[in-house]
This record gives sequence, C-alpha cells and structure tokens, in this order.
Amino acid sequence: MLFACVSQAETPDEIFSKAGAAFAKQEYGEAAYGLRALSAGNNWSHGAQHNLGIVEWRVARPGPAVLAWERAHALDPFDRNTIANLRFARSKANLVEPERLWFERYSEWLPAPAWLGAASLGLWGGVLLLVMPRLFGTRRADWHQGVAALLLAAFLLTTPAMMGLYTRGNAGVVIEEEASLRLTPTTEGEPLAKLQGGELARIERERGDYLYIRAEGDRAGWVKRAEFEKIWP
Amino acid sequence: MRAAPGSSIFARVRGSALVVLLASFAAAVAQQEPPIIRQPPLRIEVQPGSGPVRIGPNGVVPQPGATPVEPAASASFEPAEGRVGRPVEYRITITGSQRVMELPPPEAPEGLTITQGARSFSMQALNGQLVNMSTLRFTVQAARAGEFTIPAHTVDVGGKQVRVPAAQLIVRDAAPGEAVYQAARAFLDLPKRDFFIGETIRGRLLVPETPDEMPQYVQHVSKTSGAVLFKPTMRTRREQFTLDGKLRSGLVMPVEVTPILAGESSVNCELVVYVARTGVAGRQVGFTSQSTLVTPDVKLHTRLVPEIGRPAGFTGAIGKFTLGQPKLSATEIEVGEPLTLTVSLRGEGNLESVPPPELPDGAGWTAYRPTSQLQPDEDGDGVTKTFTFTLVPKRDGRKGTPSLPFAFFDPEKSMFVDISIPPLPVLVKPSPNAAATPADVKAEPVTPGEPPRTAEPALTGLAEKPGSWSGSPRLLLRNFLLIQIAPPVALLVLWAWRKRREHLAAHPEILRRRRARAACRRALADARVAVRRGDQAAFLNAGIGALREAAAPLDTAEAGSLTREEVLSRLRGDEAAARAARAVFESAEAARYASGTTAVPEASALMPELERAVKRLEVTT
Repeated sequence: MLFACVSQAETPDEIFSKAGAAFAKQEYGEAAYGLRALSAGNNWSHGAQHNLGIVEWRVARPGPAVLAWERAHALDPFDRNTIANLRFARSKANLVEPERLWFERYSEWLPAPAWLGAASLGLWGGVLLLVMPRLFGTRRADWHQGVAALLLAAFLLTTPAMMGLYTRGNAGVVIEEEASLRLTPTTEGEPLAKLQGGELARIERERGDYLYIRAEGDRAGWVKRAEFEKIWP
Repeated sequence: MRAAPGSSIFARVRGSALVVLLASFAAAVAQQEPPIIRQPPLRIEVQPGSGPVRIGPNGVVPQPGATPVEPAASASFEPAEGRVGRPVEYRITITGSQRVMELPPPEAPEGLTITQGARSFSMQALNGQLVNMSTLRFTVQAARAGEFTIPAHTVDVGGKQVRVPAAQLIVRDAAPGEAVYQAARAFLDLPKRDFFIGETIRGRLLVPETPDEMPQYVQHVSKTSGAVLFKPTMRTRREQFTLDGKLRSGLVMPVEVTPILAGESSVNCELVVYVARTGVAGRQVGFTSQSTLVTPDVKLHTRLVPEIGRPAGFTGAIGKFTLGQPKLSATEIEVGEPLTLTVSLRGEGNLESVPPPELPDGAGWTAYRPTSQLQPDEDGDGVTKTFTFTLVPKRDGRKGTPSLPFAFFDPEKSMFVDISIPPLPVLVKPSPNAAATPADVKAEPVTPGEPPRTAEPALTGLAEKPGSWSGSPRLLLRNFLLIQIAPPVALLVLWAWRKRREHLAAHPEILRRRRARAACRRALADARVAVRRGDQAAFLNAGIGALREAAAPLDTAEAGSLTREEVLSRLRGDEAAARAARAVFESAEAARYASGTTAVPEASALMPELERAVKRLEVTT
C-alpha cells in the first residue's frame, strides 16, 4: 500500500509525487488517499487540489471532485485546466452552473493573496505617502500626492473583491450524492429536495450537525454537516 | 367293538403326541401374540437396508432369536455430575426379549429440560440366555445448580409394567475459569467496501464449530432484515475460514446479496441449523438438534451507480466481466441475408439481469432483438452469458459488423470499464434476387445535415507540479485582518515620536537637566571608585564635578565654570548639605594648595556627605 502510512516525515512534495505515480498505475484509490491527506492537513496547493479533483472523479465521487477543483480555482484562477475540469464536471453531472454575485465573480479575477496584498498596499501606501512628509517635517511633493491618489484608487478597486472574498467564504459543495435538503435540522426532518453531489450552495445558518444552505434556484433547507463542505474551511 | 391291544397303544401314544403338539402350538401362538399397549401412536424410523420390520404397539419389536425373559429397566445419568447449561445424557436401559424403539420422555423436574435423544440396541447373554438390551437416551440440560431426581416411574413394555428406578443428577455452577457453554453462532460475511444498487455481492454464511456445538447442516435460510435481495445457494461445505482474524472450522454457505435501496442498511438473516452437542466427556450427546441462529447485523452502505461518466454502452452490468471472442456465422453474405453474431460475456456479477447491448441506429444494418443464454461455468465459480444478435445488411460492399457499445461498472474500483464489441469484417454481396440499383440506394432517406459540432468537454491531465503550498484562503483572510493592525500602530508610533521631538525643542531645559543628572551620576560613580581605591585626589575631583553637574541645570553656564559660592548658594535652605559641599570644596583646595600640614578628611568620611549634598542639589534643580 503506497499510502498505507503517510508519515509525518514525508514532505507535501513527496506525497504529491507518489500520488502522481499511483495515478499512473491506475491506483486511483491510493492516489486519492495521499492527496486527501494533504488537503486535510491544510497543505493546499493548486496542483495538488487539481489532481485530487481528477482522482476523485476517477473514483466516481463527483462532489469531492468539484470541491477540489473549486479550491484549485480559488488558489489559481488563471489555470485553464481547472476551469475546463469544472465545466466538464458540470456538463457530465448535469449540474447547474452557479450564479455568483458580481463582486464574487470580480474577486475571482485574481487569487485571494493578490487581492489582499493590493488592498493593504493601496490603503496604507496611500496613507503613508500623505502622512509621512508631515511626520518627518518635509514638504509634501506633488508626486507624493499623485502616487497616494493612485494607491488609494487601487484600494477602492479592491474593496468589491474583498467583499467577494468574504462572501465566498460561506460557499460550499454538496459532497454526498442525493443529499437530502430537510425542513428541520433533525434526522426525521421532512426531505424537501435532493441535492446532487457537486452542487454549489451557500451556508446561511448552522445548528449542531446541520447547516442551513441555499442552493441554486433558492432551494434552501438543512443538510447534514457531513454531506456538505465549505470551499474554504 | 374292541380294539386290538397293539393298535390301541399306538393310537394312545399318537393321541398324546398330538395333544402335546397342539398344546405347544397353542402356547407358542399365545407367546407370540402382541401385548396390548396403551400409548400414543409412535413414529418409528426405518433405516435403509434394515429390511422389513414388524412393529408392535408401543414401538416394541419382537425378536425371534431372543429368549423370552421378563423385561427389566435401569436408569442413570451420564455423567452423574453436570454443569449448568451443559447437556448430560439420561439413559433408560431395558432388557427383555423385545426391542423397545421409543419411550416418552419422563417428567422433568423444575429446572431440567429433557429432550428425546438417540437409541441403541444390542443382544447380550444374560444368565446363559440371549436377551435384547434397548438403550434409550435423552438429552438433559439444567438451568440452575442443584440436585435433581427423576423419580421412579413405570413404563409399559409389551403390555407389562416395568419399573424404571429413580436417577439422581448433581448440577454445579461452572468452576472459575471454566469456559461457559458456547452455542453455535452464524455470521454473514460480506466484502468490506461500499456497494451499489443492483450489484450482486458474493458473500458467505459462516457457522463455525464451537467446543460445545458442532453444526451438521443448514436446513433453511431466510433474510430477516435489510433492503436487499438475498439468495442462498444451499450448497454448504465444511471448510476452514478466517473469522475475526482467527482460523475457524465450520459450515460455509455461499450467498448472493443484491442491494435495492441507496443509503445505510443493516442486513441479517436467520438460519435453521442442525447441531450436534458435545457433553462433558467430549462426545456427542443425544441426537443432532435443531437450532435457530440469527446472524449479527451487517451494515451496508449502498450507493447509486454514478450518472456521471456513464458510457453509452452501460446497460446495468455491475461486477467484473470479460468479453469472449465474438463469432460470426459467415464471413460473406448477401444483402438481406441474416448474419448471426455471437458474443459471450463471462465473469462475476449481476450477469443474470444484464440486458444485451443495443445496436446503434443508422449503422447500415437491421438488427433483431438479441437473445441471451446463461450457462454456469464448469468450475462453478462463474457464469457465462451468451448474446446472439441477428443482423441483416442493408447494402452491399466490404463492411464490418457494427460496433456494439458495452460497458460494465467495476464496484471495487468505482469506475466504468468499456468492453465494447469491436466490428468484425464481413463481405456483403449484392443480392441476385433484389434489383438493387444506385437509385434504390439513393432512395434511402437522407439524414438531415448534422448540426455544427461542438467540442465535448473532457477531463484534463494531471498537474505536474504542485505549485506553492499554502493553507486555506480563509486562514489568509484571518491573518490579513491581524496584519492590518501593524500599519496604524506604526503610524501612531511615528506621530508620537514627532510630537516628542517638538516638545523637547520647545523645552531645552529638559534635555539639559537630563544630561546634567547623567553627568552627575557618572561623577558620583567615579568618586565611589576613588574611595574604594583610596585615591584622595581623584575622589575630590569627582566629588566637585558631581556637585557642579548637579547644580548646573539651574544655570545656563557650563558645569565646570561654576564656582564654590555658586554651588553653595543652591544649598542655602539645607545647612547640613551646604556644610558637606563646603567640606568637599575645602578639602580639594587644601589638597591642592596647602603645604601638607593641613589635615584633609578621609574620602570615605566625605562620601556620604557628598551624596547627600548631590541629592539635595538634584531636588532643588
């Protein structure tokens, strides 16, 4: 068993390589085990999440596959392979293309660290350029003001993306096939609808082992926590 | 008329013999007459090959070779001391000229259960006579410890009341460390994995032997719970198997389980098993008895066969199958002539319920509904299903048979496997009977123009490099908020620094006083060092320096330029401090200018006064 014991001594890069080797030998279960362990250990990278999605798809788990590709897409929005795989999964599984709010789509233009860096630099760079000459007792030059205006404008441009990043934090994926959307957060809760594995939804409330989620088409109800996973846990 | 003497003797002897013979015959007939038994009707089992058996009332079978003797009975427990829950044997032995086939069980005292057991017969010589010995066995099980007595009772043997003596059994609780009675149990053994609806799961029913019960055969199996179809094979084998990591021996019955609902389900079943019980002595006690065993629940997690990635040729086959070499009935045919394509599918799974693959439309062939035939393999481990397709070509030319898409779902790997039937080459000749002309060909309905092709989305390859490792973006957001505290704090620090600078620029005396105090502390430290060294001159220099530095902040002048009077003027309010300062100054002057006759106080004596004066000056400034 290739991943019978993912020891602590193994680096994420080594586990990634072994998963690739297992995949090449069509040992998809083994590959999935290693990549899942990486993801669960908060060792995220675009490549690992992308490959995890492919492996999960191979072992016929569309929900976890879409989840992994959504994570990969969040880490690297420019990778066309990940976008293609998400399109492929939604086409094959007849999943509804989720409608995202405009600021969420905007936030997908760049990776989250880029938006955060730009916002920090824009705000504090502009403020410092305006304040520093006064603090150091020097005269505020024209270029100080020009650059400060540019930086503050950049900050203003990042604010919708920041809002998008915040709201995307509540988005998740149905990971179990035929997950029941219930009227009440109880085992005996009346099932309102079934959600397909791989469907995107947004968490609105949490209670015990249940999450109140809203999927595409305003299908809202309680699902078991085990049947739904946040894209950004 | 008188008879002759010779003839009368003869006639008398002959008459006596006849009487004796008649008497003997009558006695024999009377002896062979069956006794009257008032017992319920009995069931007598006749073993094959035993020949005809004449059965009298109460199951008594007269034995022609046996000597007529009075029947007698004895009774005993074997062993005479038992354990709670463990079976012992109660025997009634009846000797006599007849065999006793069966007796009703005696009345059981409270706490004992008595069930009919085996019986045996033998002929034994008793006091020079051959007698029948019938041993009737009963299985006795005690529910509690104690002394039990089956009282003396009478049984009816061939119309004679025979007294069976009392028998006593002592039952004790199991000794510490002694194994409890282990009844036979049954287990349903299924593979450990997720299952799929419609899949035929091959499992086993295991009935392991225990030290106390040995399963003999399974009479009946039925499912008691679970959303599955359950099919036992009833082909039980005795073999070794591993159960809970231990090698066990017992009965194994292959079963087939087919889940019919998705989700979690618990499956168990009930078996009627005949078991042989082992007594204390380690040998079988009584007949094999019937036990009803219920297997523990086995949890099944059943899923639907995924919709996604389902190939066109998937018709519901779940398992592991291989395709045999397809065979054609001919390699050359004429248009309109039927051609038979035979394909065999072999493997493990739900082959019985798998419909044949469908011929795609518009393949240039007319296909009739295929037939299928299921045949178990010779080794009995698998099944072969043969599909027979009848195809009729519509047009002539060198062609291949149409490719028949077929795929199955491998439940262990959770993936579809495509085993489509490939095209086979066949030459289709024009039919001499049909006047096929190019016009006929053209007359075929023209398929409408295909819509513009759109690229089907496909799965991409693996990423070769992992990229930079990080955590979830949520962690990044959390850290981002924490990091945002740093810039305002830095700005605040800069602002505070700027304000301080402005304040010091407006109040230069603060810096002056701070510098003077530092210089004063340095001079005092030098003075202390000089005291320790005993260097009087250095002490006086340092002491005067300390006094001047302490007095300087009140004056804009340099500390070194202050005179004695200026320093002492700062100490007007404190006479003791002024006296001490004056003493230091005078001692310094005396040491510098006097010829050596003037007495100069010791540095160590002056040091406390110096410190006091300096402290006083610092307070006033």
